[in-house]
Amino acid sequence: MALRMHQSLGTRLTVVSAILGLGPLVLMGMLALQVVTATHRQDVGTMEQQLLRQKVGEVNDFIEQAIGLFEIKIGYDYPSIIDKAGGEFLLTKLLEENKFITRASLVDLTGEEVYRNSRLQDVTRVRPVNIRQLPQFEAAKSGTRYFGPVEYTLNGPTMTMAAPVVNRNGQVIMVLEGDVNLAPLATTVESARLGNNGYVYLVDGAGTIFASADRGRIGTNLGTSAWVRELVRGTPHTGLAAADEHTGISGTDVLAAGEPLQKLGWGMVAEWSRQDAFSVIAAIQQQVILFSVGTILVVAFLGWLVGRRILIPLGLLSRGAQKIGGGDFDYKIQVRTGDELQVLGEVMNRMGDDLKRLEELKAAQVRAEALAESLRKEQELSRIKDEFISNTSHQLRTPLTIMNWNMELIADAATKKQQVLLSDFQAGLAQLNAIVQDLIAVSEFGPGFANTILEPVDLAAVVAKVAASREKTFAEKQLVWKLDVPSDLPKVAGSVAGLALAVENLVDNAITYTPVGGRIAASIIREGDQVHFTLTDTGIGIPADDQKSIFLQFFRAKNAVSMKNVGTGLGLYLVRNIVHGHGGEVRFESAEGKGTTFHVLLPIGRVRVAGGHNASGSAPTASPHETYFGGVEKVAG
Amino acid sequence: MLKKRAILITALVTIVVAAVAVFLYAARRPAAVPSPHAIVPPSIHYARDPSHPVTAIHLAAVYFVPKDIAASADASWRDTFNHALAELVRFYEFELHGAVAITYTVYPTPIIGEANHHVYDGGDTNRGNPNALAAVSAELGRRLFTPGGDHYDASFVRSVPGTDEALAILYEGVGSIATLRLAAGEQQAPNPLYQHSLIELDGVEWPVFLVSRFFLTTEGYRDYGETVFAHEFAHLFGLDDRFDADGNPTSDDIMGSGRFLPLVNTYLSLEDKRELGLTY
Repeated sequence: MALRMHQSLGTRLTVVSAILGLGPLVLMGMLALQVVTATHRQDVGTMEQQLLRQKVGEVNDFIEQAIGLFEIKIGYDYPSIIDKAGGEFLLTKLLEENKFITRASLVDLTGEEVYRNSRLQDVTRVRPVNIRQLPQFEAAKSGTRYFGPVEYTLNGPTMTMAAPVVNRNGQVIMVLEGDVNLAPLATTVESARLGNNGYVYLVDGAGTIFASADRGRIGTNLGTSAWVRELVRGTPHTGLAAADEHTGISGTDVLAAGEPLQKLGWGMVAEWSRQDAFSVIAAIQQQVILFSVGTILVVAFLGWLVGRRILIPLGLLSRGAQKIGGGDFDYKIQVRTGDELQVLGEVMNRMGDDLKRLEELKAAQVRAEALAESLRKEQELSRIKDEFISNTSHQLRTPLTIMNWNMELIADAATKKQQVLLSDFQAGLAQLNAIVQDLIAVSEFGPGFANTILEPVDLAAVVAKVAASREKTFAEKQLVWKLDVPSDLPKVAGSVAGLALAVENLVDNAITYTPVGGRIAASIIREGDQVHFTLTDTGIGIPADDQKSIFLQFFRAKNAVSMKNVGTGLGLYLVRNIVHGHGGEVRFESAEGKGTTFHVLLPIGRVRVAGGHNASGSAPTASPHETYFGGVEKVAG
Repeated sequence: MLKKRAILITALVTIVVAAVAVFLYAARRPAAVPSPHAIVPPSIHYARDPSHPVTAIHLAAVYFVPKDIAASADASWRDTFNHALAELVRFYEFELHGAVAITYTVYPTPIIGEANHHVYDGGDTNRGNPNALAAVSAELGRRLFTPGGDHYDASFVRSVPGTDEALAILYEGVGSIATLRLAAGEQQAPNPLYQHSLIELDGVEWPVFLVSRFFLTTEGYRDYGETVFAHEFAHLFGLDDRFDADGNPTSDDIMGSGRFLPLVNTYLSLEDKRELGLTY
């Protein structure tokens, strides 16, 4: 089942890295910008004030220079007024001295224009007038300077000035008044610059701009502005107050400062667009933002890289875990980070190997269980078969015995001819009886037979006894029987009945397949810790092709079958089972038509038989046992 | 995968936007203070009479020549007249800050008077020749403004709604004088002829100002002849002279001593402007 991932580790690392990188940066940036902004705000105000003071000084110098020319002090005790020549000379010099004085008149103390000079017109065409009703006359006559309001003509702003003319004694003897063109003040403010677009302008007492770098602004009235009204009334603006940051005459947001020219009732204003004044701050801000964003991206990228470096091995581990979990135990996780992740990968690989082995063991166990079950079933079938054969054989033997007895009784009473017929019938019974005997023997010494009877057996005696019981047959077939046994032959441990049966089968085979007049020789010797029983005949021998099969059940060699004698094919099968069941060995060598020699080797001394069933068909003993009957002590394994 | 990437991008974008927002906040500017320089568009009214605003004035300009001196009419009167009118317009648009639009139309031909010059100049020519103002106004009212008059031109004397009409007369005679418009409740003008010079057409009063052609072409008035022409026009607003009966000024502006300065060097004083409703 695929696990649902709510948020990838890489995403988390990237975000955390960015936040960790951003936090200090933001704080530092904020602090730095606050400090720089506040400091720069002060600097802007200071620069504006310095510029205003400079320009106000220039304006004052211009005004003072002009009014100074109007202030005339006669060096001697003059009569009431200056004479014509002196007056005309004075006015001529006045206009020569200051080219911005456009008109000047010397007025007597009654207000009559005595002399006039003008740059604007031919004064001879203008009738002199009495100006006693004009304010400049009143002021100057009283001994004070007069500065008239700024007046706006098509040729530019102008103002009327007047000053008293005094004699050596300080007495006012006349009034000198005239008009001064204020155009130079426009030049003064035009030359004032703050940054790229900071500017200065002059306003008169009504708040009207009369000198500005932007000529189009001249005549604009700001009299509705409380800020301007305060200024022309004598209140300076430092440029640092909140109200000093407003929309200027240019329509942009400006930082403004104002300096009053109190004696004239004017004000000078400096306006510097905030954007320009703070362009440095904006640049710094932009750089800080760019740097911050760049840093964030770098940090995020590095976080992503680190996350990726971690995630790739984790991905490999994850895929590997899924593969191994899915049963692909041969899958190998390839993590080469050299750290704990690599160790984890190797551990998971080992886990895969272990799981693989465990799986193999499970499979083997299943196979073993299946095999055991199969073996058990086979054994059960074999047991049933053996039991069937045994039961059947025993069941057959009784009626066969009765039949044999009855046959003998009948033969006694029968005629000659009947006896011949009965003789054949009796032979058949004998063969049937032999078959039954073999079957019974097979039931006792069948497959897996392991002898559990460990009694001392004198094999020589057994052979001799068997041979003795076949003496009649030897005679009938004129066979020579020889038994060669040493006197100190040790006994073997085993079942007398079983070993006797084996010897009987070997001897009977030799008798059966040895032609009349043949020879059958038996010998028993000790070979080490074994007793070696040899039985040699001069019989028909065993065909080479059949030799590999002669110990199989119901097998009969071709030449044996061709003799048409009766045989079950179980004799040698029983021999091998009995000898093997006693821990011995049986072999033979044979040449067809020449004879056969069987070798039976049985252990002496301790005989250890492990597992299997005994001759009685009962279950094998739970534990092996040992018996020693000879002089040589050896454990057969 | 796309979802993870979207989450990643969203997170990064959020962080970057937050950073930018924080920096902008850190570098924030104080709340903008409204401009203290609220510039109120100037407007004027007739002098001392706020109930009668003036936004546009149209001058019907006529060169009037008494019959007996028709032969000596100035051949270049049109150029002279146009120049004086143009300078007048320039002066007042500047002084009144564009509060009033002044236009003019010059009648294409001189109008020859039905009488000789002594008839028109029969009064006190030292006071601007109010007799000429009244006589010429009456005659023009009849001949120029009245249908059937020998110079009647409906398009020339038409009244445009929203525009105050006036008659400017370049007079081939002496004097300079104008209808003095009185505010409601004010006393009669110094000379009743001032008021009689009003021409009424379809219920619309046409004030009149008259200036001798000599002010504009004679060498002796070269420096201030057009100033006198403009001075007389100011009376149409109701502005009075700022000099006394002896001609001594009470002001240096165009209504006072400034009327003898070249027009480009004179001005309308703040006192006069205030009468018109201006503050500067």
